[in-house]
Amino acid sequence: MNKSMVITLCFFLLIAGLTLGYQLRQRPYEIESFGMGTIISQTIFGSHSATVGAQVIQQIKYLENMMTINAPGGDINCLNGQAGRRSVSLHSESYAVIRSALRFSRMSGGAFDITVGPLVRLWGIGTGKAKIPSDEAIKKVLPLIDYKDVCLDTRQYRASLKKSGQMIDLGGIAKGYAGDVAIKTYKRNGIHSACVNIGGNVVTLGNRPDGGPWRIGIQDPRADNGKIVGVVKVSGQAVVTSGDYQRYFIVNGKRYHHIFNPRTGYPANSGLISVTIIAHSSAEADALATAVFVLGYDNGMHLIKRYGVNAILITADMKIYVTPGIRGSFHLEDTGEKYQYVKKS
Amino acid sequence: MLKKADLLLTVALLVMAGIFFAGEHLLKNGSAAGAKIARITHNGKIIRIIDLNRLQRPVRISIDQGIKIVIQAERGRIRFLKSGCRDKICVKAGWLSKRGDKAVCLPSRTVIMIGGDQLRPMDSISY
Repeated sequence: MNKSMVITLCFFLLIAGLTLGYQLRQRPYEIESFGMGTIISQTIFGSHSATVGAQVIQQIKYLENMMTINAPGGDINCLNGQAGRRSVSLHSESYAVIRSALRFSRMSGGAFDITVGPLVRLWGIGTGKAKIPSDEAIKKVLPLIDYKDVCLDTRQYRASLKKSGQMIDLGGIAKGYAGDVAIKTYKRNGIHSACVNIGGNVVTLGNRPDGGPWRIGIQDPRADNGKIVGVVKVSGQAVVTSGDYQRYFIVNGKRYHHIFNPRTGYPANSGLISVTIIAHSSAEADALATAVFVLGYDNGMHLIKRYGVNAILITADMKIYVTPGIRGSFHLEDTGEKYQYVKKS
Repeated sequence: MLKKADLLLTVALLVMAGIFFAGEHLLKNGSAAGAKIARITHNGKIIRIIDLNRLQRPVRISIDQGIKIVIQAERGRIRFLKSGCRDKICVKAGWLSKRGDKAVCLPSRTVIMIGGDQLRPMDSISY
């Protein structure tokens, strides 16, 4: 074997090695973990993905301890405990979440309100002890529900609640915020392609490694878990859904779900049964999905346009509305033909 | 007339193509051709990996840490058979048989998933 042949052989072996290496890099690292009272699934492409995945889970647990209503010593727990008394010092993360939540409250005219804590506790939906409270009990807690009573001290990272008994519940935004934190962590670690699902809130980074967009199924609100009404293709965006099917109980044929109208104190009854928001920030998508669900189709669409986000709305009369910006990337997969796909701007 | 170098080139190209296709096939279908790999995780840790297509007889896997879970696997499919959890959403999910199928028992922190990314119709579900 002469020298040039050896060189040729080495060259081909190198190419073969690189090809295999490339294919291995295309293999996702997938892991399910538990946090924020739900399941977290990560799909990460790239080197060190296992380490990065573990780092994300650690961060989410840190946020959970800070923001869960029931975590003793956590920011939100302390803030609620001091309601009507004094202000408490906050970590920068909880401060940022409360501040952005209040912005969504103002923009939605109070349809999204983090002070729904007393209502959440009164109804107990999802705890196994859910019940319909008396009208009196609801009337009693309604004056406590008002985002304007959350006071933020911008210079000292402190917050307070005006009235005793008031309670912040970040259930409508914390998971969304955690999704944004996860994406930042992927980016910081040189990952270009990832998808994280935190209890149904999906956030994507870049494209799939094959260059195509991520394909995100939208849960059918009137079918078993995992059955979808369609697939939306996204790149580097969050897809967050709020619906009346996630946590609910039924009494005399009437469904009582977990998304409350802060004005009435009852589960929102706006004619929408599912709202999916597609946006660049998952915290934004999370808060807006709740706000639009409470507002209903007309006012909800105004809010969607104002934020320049896209949405898939499903109404109680089984119609699916998709905003023009994603019509090309949404594909209906309603095999039972239960729904009517309405195309209007 | 083939020279020695031509022969070497042909062999090298064939080897390269072989590696390429074998690699691709392997990654698409799990660890071996025709495999259908179910992965059971508990608390985020993998506790069992089963090639459903190679199961000779049904197996039952019990997890008894807090909430008692029984998982049943047969050739080509797997499910949560019993669970001590409240809502039994995991049991109601029924048999999983396709790549990408997944069932979760949140209270016991147990997940069954059938692997193989490339062939899935979607990457995730928003709910």
